[in-house]
Amino acid sequence: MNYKKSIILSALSLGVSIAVNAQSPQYSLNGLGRSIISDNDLSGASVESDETIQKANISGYNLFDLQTNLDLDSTFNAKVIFRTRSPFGTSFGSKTDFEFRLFSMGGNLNGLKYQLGDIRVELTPYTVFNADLAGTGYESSIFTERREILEYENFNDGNTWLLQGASGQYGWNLGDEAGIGIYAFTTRLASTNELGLPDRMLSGGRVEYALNKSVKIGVNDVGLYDIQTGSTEYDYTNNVVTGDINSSTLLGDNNLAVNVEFGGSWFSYTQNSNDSNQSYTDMIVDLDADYNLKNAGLDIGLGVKMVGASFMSPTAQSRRYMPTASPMLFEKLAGESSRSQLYYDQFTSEEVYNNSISPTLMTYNQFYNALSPYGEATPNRLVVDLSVATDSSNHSLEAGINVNYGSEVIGQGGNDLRNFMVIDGGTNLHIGNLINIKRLIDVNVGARYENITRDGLSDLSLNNMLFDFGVSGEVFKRIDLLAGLKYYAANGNEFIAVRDEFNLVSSFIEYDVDISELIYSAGLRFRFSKAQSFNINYNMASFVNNLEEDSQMNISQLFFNYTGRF
Amino acid sequence: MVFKKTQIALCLFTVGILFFSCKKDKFVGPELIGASSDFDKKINFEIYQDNKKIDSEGNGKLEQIVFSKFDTASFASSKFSSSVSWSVQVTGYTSGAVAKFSGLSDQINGGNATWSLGRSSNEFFFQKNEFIKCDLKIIGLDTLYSIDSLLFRMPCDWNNKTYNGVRHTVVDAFDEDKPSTGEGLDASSPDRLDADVVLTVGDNNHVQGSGALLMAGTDLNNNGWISSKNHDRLIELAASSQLSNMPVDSNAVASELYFNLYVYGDSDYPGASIQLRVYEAEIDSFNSVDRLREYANQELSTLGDNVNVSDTWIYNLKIDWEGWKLVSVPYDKFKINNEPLGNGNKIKEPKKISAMMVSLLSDPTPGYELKTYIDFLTITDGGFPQFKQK
Repeated sequence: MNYKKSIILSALSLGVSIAVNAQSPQYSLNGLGRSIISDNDLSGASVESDETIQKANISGYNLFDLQTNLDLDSTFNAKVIFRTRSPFGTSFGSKTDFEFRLFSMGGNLNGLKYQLGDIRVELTPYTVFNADLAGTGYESSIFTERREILEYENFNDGNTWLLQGASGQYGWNLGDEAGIGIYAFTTRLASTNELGLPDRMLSGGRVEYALNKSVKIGVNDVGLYDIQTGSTEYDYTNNVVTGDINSSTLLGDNNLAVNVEFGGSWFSYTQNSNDSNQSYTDMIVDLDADYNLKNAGLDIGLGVKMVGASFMSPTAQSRRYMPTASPMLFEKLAGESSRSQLYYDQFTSEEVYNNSISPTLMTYNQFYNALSPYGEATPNRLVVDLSVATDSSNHSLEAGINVNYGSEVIGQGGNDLRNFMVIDGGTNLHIGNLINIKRLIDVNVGARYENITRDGLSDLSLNNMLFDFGVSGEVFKRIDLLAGLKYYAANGNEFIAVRDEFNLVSSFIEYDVDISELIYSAGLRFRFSKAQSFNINYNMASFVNNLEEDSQMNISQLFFNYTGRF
Repeated sequence: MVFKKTQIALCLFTVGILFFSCKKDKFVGPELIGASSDFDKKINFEIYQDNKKIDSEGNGKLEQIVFSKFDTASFASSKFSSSVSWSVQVTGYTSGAVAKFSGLSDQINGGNATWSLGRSSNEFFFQKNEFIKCDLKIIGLDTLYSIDSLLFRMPCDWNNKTYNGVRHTVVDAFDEDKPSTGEGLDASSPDRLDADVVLTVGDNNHVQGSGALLMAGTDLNNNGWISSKNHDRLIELAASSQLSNMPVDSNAVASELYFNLYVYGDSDYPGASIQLRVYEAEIDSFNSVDRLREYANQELSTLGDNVNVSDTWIYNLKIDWEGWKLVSVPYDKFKINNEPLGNGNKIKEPKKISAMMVSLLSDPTPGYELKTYIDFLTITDGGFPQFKQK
C-alpha cells in the first residue's frame, strides 16, 4: 500500500526544520521552459480513399512557467507559477496566452502547518488517491519522457490530486517514538451558477496514532457534498470512512510489513425536482503482507482485497485518463468519421487526460484494463495478488512479476461473475552498473496480459496483451540513443455498463473487439546539463481493427522537445 | 508480538468478509440474458402507427411516421424462441437524434417498446422530413434487424402540448429569420457600435427544427451588450386565439414556471452570457388574463403608455460549457430590471407575462469577441420540459 507519508513525522519534522531555520524574508525563482515541435503524417487504408481530410501537419508550442517563491518568515510562504504559452507558428507574441497556473500560500504557526490555495491532497488508495495507469511497469524511457510531459501538463504529481482549498496538519510527540497526528483539508470542486448547480465541497482528513516506530493506526474520512440553495436541481452526498493499521517487524535480517485497510462508503443522491432519491452503502477490506529477504534482495508480496459493488469513493476512483476524449491530432478519418483513441494517445495526447474529480464512475475501456480501471478502489472486485520483485539494494537489475486473480463480488446483469487474471512483469537491466562503467546502458523488457471471462446466459471472453521493449545508451558523452517498442492487442467480447445519474447501472452495451497496435520510437537525447535536454525522435503507431475493412491507420511523428528547468 | 499483530489483522479481515457475506443484492443493473447458440434467428421486427406497419424485410404499408397527428408509434416482433435482452435504437440520418428502448422479454410489443411523441434520448430532436433507421439488437446475436429509410414526416408540435402534467409553449423555434407575428421573436436589435455583429438564423448548427439563431459580435464599445431578439409588440405572447392557449394561465406559480432554451457553448469564445428578459404588462384596467388576451389580439395594440409602469424581469446565464445544453430557469429566479421598464409594482405576477427578449452579453467582463447559438425557446408550466425520453 502506498500510503501518504506519515503525517506525524511530516508535521513534527517540519516544526523542527522551521525552528532551526528562523529566517529573514527570502525571494527565489525557479521554473520550466519547454519547446515542442512535431511533424505528423497520417496514412493507411482507413484514410487513403478520402482526399479531403488532413493527413499531415506540423504543430507544437513554446511555454515558460515562472515560479515565484516568497518565504516571508517561518509563518508564511507563498508561491505562484505564471505561465506564458504560445502555439508554434505565431509571431511577435500573437496568440500568446498568459495564465496563473498555480497559486498557494502556507506556513507554520506554532507547529500547525497550513496551506491555502492550490493544495495537493492524498490519503489512502480507498479515500483520496490519483491512481496510475495500468502498464507493464517496464516501458522504454523514450515513452516515459513523453508521458511525463502529459503528467506535468495535467498537474499529476505522484498519486496526489491538485485541488483548491485549505489544509492543516499538526502532530503531538508522545515520546518513545509514539505520537498523534491530525491532518484535515477542505476544498471546493465546483461552483454554483446560482441556478440549478450547487457549490460542491470536498472535505476530509486523517487522524494517525503511532504506537512506536513500526506500528501506526489511522482513521480516514472524506466527504463530498453539495451546498443547497432554494433552486438546486440535486443534492449529492458521499462519505468514505476507513481505518488502517500498518506494521513493520524485523525477523532476523528480514522485514515483514503488514498493512490492513477497511471501511465503507455512504452515498446519497436526490433529484430535487421530483424528490427521487437513491442511497446505498458498501464496504472494503484490504490486507497486504510484504516480506523483504534482505540477503536475497527480494520482496515477496501477498494481498487479498474485497471492494463492494456499491463502494463509492470519487476521490479515489476518478481517472486521470479519459478514453472517450477526442484526440486533437488527426481528428477526422475518411467519411467525416471521428478518430477514436489509440494506445499511442495515452502517452502523447494532452487532451485525453483529466485532472478533476468525477462524482460518478467515469467510462473506461475494458480492453485496456478491466481489473482495476478505478485503481485499488475499483468497485465489485475480490482480488488475490502475489508478487515477487527485486528490492532497491540491487543497482544493476530491477525485475518483478505480479499475478492477480480476481472476480466480481456480485454479477452484472445476472448471477454469473466475471473472472479476471492479470500477469505483468519485466526487467530493467542497467548494464552500465553491471560492468561497472559510468555510462548509461539500459535494456528493458516487460509484458502485461489480462484475461476476462464470464460464463452463463451472457457469456464473455476478452484478452488483452501489452509488450514493452526498450534500450537506452549513452553513445557519446551526454548524447543518448533511446529506442522503444510497444505492441498492444485485444480480442473478444464484453459489455459496457451504462450508468445513470444515480451511478446505478441502467443498461448494457455489447461489443466485440479485435485490434492490434504496434508503436516504435527511436531518437537521440542531448543532455546539456542535469536540468536541460533536447530530444529528437521518430515515432510510428500502426493500428488495425480486424473487425472492419480498410481499418489500418498509421501515424508517424517526428518529435522535437527542448526542456529546461532551473 | 508479530503473531499478535497478525491476529489483529486477520480478525479485522474476517469481520470484513462476514460483512460482505451478509449482502443481499443479487446482481448489479437490469437482468442481462444473451441469446443461446440454439436461439432461432428468424425474427420479424416491425414498427407500426395508425394501424399501418412495416417490417425489417420491407413488407407493409407504413411509409412515414407522423407525430404531429399521432402521439405514439410502437415496435413489435414475432415471438422469440426464448427470453433475451434486446435493444431498439432509432437514428435520424440528418439530425443525429437517437431514441433508445431496451428490455428483457420473449417478444417486443407496444407494452414494452412504445415511442411517445417522437422524443429522442440525446440532445438532438428528430427533424421534419428526415429519414430514420430502426435497429433491433439482441444480446449475444451478431445479426442486426433493421428498418431503414423510413420517413420521419412530422415531429410533435410542442406548442400548447401537455405531457406528464407539464404544459409547453413554444416561444420561438428559431427556424426563420423573420417569423411572422405571433410565431416568435420578430424584432432584432444589434448594437450598431459593435463590430461584426451577426444575428441570423442558420441551419449549420442546431438541435431542434431546421435552424438555430447565431448570435455573434465583438463588444467594441465596451457596454457589454452585443445584440437582442425580442417580441416587437411587448404584448405579443398574450395574443392567443383562445384563452386555453395562453402560455401562462392565471393560476401559474413562479417556482413551477420554467423558461427553457438550448444554448451552445464554445470555449473558443469565453465570457459570453445570455440574458433572458420577461415583460409583464401592468395595465390596471385589465383585471383578467382574458382581457389582456383580447387586447393583445388587436393588431395595433401595444403596451403604450403603460410601458413605463410595467415590470421587466431578467436572468443572466453565464455560458461555461461546451456544446449544446438545455437550460431551464424557474421564473422565481428572475430578478427585477430597474432601467428601463422596471417601474411596475415589482411583484412577480406570471399571469401578466406578455413578451420576451433574449440578448447576447459580454458579461461579466465587457469587450469580448463572442459567438454562440440558441435554439428552441420555450415556456413550461408545471415543471421541467418533457422533450426527452429517458
